[in-house]
Amino acid sequence: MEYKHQAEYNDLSVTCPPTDYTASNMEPVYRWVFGKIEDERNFIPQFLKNPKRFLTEDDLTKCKALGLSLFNDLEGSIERFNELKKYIGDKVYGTLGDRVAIGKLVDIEGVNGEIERLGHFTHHSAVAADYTHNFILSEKEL
Amino acid sequence: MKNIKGTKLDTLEGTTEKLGDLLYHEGPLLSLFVNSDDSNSYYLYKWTDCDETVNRWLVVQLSSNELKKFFDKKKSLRAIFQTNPKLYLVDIDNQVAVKRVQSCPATALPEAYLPRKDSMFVEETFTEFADEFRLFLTDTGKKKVVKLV
Repeated sequence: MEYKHQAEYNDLSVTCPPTDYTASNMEPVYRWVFGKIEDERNFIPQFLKNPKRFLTEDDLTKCKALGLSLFNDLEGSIERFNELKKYIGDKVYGTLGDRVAIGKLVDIEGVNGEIERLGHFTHHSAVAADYTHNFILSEKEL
Repeated sequence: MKNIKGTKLDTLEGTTEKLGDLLYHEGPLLSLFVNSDDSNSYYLYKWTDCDETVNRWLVVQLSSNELKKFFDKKKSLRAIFQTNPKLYLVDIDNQVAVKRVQSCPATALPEAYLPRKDSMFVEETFTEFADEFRLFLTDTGKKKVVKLV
């Protein structure tokens, strides 16, 4: 698979994406986004945002932050957002987003890690990924 | 990003070393650092705000006893930030360079910069590192913090 961020992976001392990540079709999936689907911040990994939300730069952290966080459970995604808001405060919308988008992942769009608590998983993008066409805003606000 | 009235500093006290992330989503949200010269002096970095050039972190310097109170659910994260006099705002840019440090009292902070009142520790919300560190704090025979990042 040809990855969107291969140049960044090449600079890391760890294998990225991790070898146990797999490609699959998943629907529905959910992602926290900002305002409109077209917002340029919505599908950029944290490591490539400017300014990126980082305190140190080790390669394992960089690899993780070159992926996108998604959920396979709508209620789980909202629960997780509210958990984080409790500790970070109301400014959290400024870094995590303010709406939930619903969409699908096609196997050619990248590889996914295992499903974790509340349906969270990490997705590494392939060149073929086209999220703005495959996601729409859900009616749920965060 | 809000202009906060604090006292500008050149740097935080002492050299700090990151131990791990306590809350994480596509990058750190709440991280724990230790003072390299004083293993009983810790720093919590909580993401707080951002603009086009920096992320702002609310930083509190605290002892292992205070951290233990949080992990033992005797003190909320909000109370940790509100009651500790060693409170700082640290602006960090895209190159992970510190651009500005200021000390400020909790009373100078906007409400949105603080955790909510119900911000007591809940195990499943936090990272694996948080759980390991919580266990470390209860293990009085353990002498050295293992760096987990």
